[in-house]
Amino acid sequence: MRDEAELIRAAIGGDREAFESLVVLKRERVVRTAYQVTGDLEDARDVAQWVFLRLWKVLPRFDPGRRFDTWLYRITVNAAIDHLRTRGPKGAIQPLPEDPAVLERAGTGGEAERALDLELLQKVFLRLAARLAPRQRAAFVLREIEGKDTAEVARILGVRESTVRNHLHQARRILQAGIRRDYPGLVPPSAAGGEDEEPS
Amino acid sequence: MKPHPDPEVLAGADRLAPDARMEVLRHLAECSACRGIHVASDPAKLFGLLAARPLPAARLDEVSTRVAAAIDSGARLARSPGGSRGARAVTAVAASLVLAALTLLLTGDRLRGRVAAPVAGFTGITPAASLTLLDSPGEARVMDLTMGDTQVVMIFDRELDL
Repeated sequence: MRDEAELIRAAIGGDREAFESLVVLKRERVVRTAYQVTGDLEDARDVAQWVFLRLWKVLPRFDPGRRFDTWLYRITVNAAIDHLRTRGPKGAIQPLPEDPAVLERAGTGGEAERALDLELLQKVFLRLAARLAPRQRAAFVLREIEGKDTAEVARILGVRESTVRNHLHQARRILQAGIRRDYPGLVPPSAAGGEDEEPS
Repeated sequence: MKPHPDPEVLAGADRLAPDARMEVLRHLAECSACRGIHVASDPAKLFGLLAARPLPAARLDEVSTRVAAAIDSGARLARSPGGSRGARAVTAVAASLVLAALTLLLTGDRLRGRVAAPVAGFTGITPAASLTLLDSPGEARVMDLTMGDTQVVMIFDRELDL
């Protein structure tokens, strides 16, 4: 099986099979990023399809000296933001659980091992993230969900690191306020009362 | 459940390699105690756990299938994922041009009446016009708008990046 760098080189040369393998390798990241930015899985699929078709078209011009993932994330985020601005945020109308405790389900190991319901967490995020500006939302998704560092987020968004830090600060402030107001049960008791900090 | 990660690892989960980070996130999704430590300074960090939420495999397969089909069919790439927006804009511009041409034709006689001194060689607007949609390659639209002796050929192509 060919490694990623080899697939990229072959796809640049027009190798269709290599390109399709590259799509399989990257599609989850692309769909997930587009989904968290647009708030809708159907929209995310459309964005991903467009991103990979664009990739196929412009790949012959890709400079192998550049970081492929950064480039791919950049195309994805720009397409998702464009989509978000055109259609508006989806997922804002999510039902609030009547009992915030339902966000956690009991595990087998006692109180300390209560699992978080990721489906409900997703709904909470879509509801609260609808309050973020597109760039704030994209910065947060790349930093916190995709796990990119601030410098990488800045490269993807094509802005300064200070701008990314500002976007993240605003996004966290809005999301934290939303959690504390609407979903206090989401935060485990051991974390309740923590002070706001601005991680680098 | 796997053993609880070191608090330092929890605090620096952002800096871990992707696979190691994912392992910590999966643990956090299952363990309330570790989750409490992880989000102590920032409850919004909880949303990082969404990286561990699997996407429906069928949706991912759809992406691959659609991409392959679009490449096979040689479909033109829309300017943006909401590609129909561009098509709507082209239609709106074309409709405006046609409306303007028709307005000019319908008011042509009155306009001619207002010309005090005809310019030499000016024959006025001949009340005969035709609009033809010619064969168009791909998504481009080629229109032939002929008014009297004047012919205007319009090409609308979203792929043109001027």
